[in-house]
Amino acid sequence: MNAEAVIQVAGVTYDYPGLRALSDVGFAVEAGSIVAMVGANGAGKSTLLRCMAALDRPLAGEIRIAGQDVFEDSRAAHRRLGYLPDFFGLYDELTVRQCLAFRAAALGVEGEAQAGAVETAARRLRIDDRMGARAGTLSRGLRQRLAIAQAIIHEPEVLLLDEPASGLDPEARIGLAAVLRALRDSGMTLVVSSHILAELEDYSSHLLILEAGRLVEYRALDGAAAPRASGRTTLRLVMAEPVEDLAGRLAAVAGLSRIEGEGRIAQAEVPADPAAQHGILKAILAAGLPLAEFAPLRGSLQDAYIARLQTERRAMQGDSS
Amino acid sequence: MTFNPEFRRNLWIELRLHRLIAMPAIVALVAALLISLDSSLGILRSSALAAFYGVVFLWGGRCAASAIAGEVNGRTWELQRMTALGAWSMAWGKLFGCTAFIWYGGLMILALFGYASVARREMPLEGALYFAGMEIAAGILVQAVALSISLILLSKKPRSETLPVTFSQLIGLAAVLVMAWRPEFGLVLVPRWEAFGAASWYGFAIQLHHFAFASVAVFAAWAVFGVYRLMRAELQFEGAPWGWPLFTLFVIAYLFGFLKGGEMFGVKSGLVVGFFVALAAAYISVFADHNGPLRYRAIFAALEAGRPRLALRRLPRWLPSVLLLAIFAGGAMTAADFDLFALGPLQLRVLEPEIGRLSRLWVAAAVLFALRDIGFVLLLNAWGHRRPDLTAFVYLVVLYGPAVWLLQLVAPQFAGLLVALPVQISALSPVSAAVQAAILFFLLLQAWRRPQAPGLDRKA
Repeated sequence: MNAEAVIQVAGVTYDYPGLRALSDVGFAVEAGSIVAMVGANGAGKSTLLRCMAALDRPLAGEIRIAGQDVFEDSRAAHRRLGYLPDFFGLYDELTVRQCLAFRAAALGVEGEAQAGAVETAARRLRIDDRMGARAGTLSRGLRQRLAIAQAIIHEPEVLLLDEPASGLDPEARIGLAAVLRALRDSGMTLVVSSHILAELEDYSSHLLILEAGRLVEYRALDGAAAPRASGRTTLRLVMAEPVEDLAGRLAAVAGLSRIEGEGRIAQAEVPADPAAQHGILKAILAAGLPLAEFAPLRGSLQDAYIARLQTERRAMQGDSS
Repeated sequence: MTFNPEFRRNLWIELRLHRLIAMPAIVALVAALLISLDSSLGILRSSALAAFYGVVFLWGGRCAASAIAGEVNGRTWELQRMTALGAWSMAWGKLFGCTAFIWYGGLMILALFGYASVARREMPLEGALYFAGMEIAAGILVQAVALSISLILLSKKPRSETLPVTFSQLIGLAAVLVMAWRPEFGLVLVPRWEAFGAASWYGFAIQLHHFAFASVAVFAAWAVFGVYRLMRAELQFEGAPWGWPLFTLFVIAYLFGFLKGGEMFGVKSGLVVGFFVALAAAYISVFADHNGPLRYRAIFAALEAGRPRLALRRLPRWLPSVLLLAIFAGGAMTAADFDLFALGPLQLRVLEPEIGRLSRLWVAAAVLFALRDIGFVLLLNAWGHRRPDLTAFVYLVVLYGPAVWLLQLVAPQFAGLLVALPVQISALSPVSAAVQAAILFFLLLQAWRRPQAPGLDRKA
């Protein structure tokens, strides 16, 4: 196991009656990361998060949060991690202040520190103006913020969120992204599961893909599509105005290959070498094309997910045939 | 020292200002009405007693059962399991927190009953205080058993989104009725202060009021201990299952105290009583356990990984219960040809004189048939039957009831091959039971070791 990782998962296998929900899953998460855990419905995301939160014990494997084996002393682990399930789990009869005070006390924040923790969490989630309101009277967006405030009230090192944006309106989703970034900036490590990839794209630093209970990919997301083994990369070319037979005219430029596009926008493969790219740029301008943008094609999270999933499924079909 | 957060949360919900005002107002209003109807306080006394049972036993038992069911149904229980609270804090915080309002009203009503009893000279102040103590203990017993049953139901359906309440409530009520198993123990429910004489326990003559009070209090303490042990398991504190066998031994020791004599004759009687109690405890434990195949697969996985202590912590309760049964069965076989009527105060009144003797064959057959029945319950669980325990229970009731009755009519010589009947017991009975148990456990091992298909998980 990686000694410097704040989350260490090794060989986790989890069964439901008649089926294997997680199969030998292992990965390590560095501090300060935001991991986007993606996968189809039923891929094992919630199960893995529940195991990491020490709510369900796997058949085999080990999970450590900040070096603590979560199953050896689950109470101690709970002091170091926060968990937001895909439902909010609020006591509707309690006020916002009571919800936060209860949660703080139950997570070991005691005495004078408790009042401070309540105020801080409420301020961070911008619900400090609703402290006297009953949880049951809040809107869905506010209930979600209260639930996150409860999950972080003890300043955990790790925060696990299961489908946090589910059921939120667009404005609340944008607010959620800002909240998660702020939590990351304050030093927390976050694991966020979702099958709505667009919402993860803004703030995730790592991608973790689960498929049928198996970890098929775990890697850092740097935004740009990585150069392929061939030493070539893909660029996006945007013209100032539509160009007739854009793909044909670009094909005449030396160094461009795999050209697709029409009208104003095209994409093409070029050598990864910056000097070669400079030469190609001059050649396009010399060919009289009204080039306005010449930049690496940013692979979206969704593209990365779909591409990896297709590769994985082809491999599985190959194995089975 | 920090106030128990779970208890405080319950107080926030239960003891709202309007409830704190409404309860005494209503109690005072009703009391005034009853006094106006009967100035001798007779109606007040009987009504207060009935109201106490209604509020503390019926309503309180329901509240205690709802303490977990409400959280499961409201989807707050998962977050409760995520707290850093210990099992004891969670157990007493829930048990006494969710019933705080019940006790607030119940104690007022009990005070009214005591006042009316003393004023009417039906019992002295000492009697009223004893009775109050006994009823409070009985109330805790009802509520703790109801909460325990809720926790057991939850452990049997770990990711359930709904949990029934009425069943737990009814078992809680049954617990206090069991406490009144002897006619003179009826004072647990019907307060009287006349001279009852003494209970004879381990040869000591103990004033019956004292003994009944102590008995109820001790069993209530066991029920609270049960809540604590079950809460430990629910909060992922794994530990070897020694709580249930310990309680079984306590019940044996408690009942043994009633046997007359207490000398060598008493030891044999004790072994026989122990055998019957352990037999009942084994059946109860298998129905109370979570017996899904994954539990047993996890035990095998821990053993295969060379972690015997982890395997021990994952053991089901029925296993040590069966071990205890085997030990007491061995002891009971030394008391072969024991006259069951010699059990005196504990004698099994339903037995006919000709079957009132315990034989070695019968003891052996009873243990092996119990193993067969346990294997049957586990097998239905392992096969993923929809309601395995209820189905197994119904099948066993049919087997031990109508099926055996019919068999005795048409082919009585075969009845002893299916169940441990004292009259039809033969040398073939234990053999038949052992073969049946072996077949069931063989099938069970196959089912537990069946490989898992990779696939989609269910949403939490």
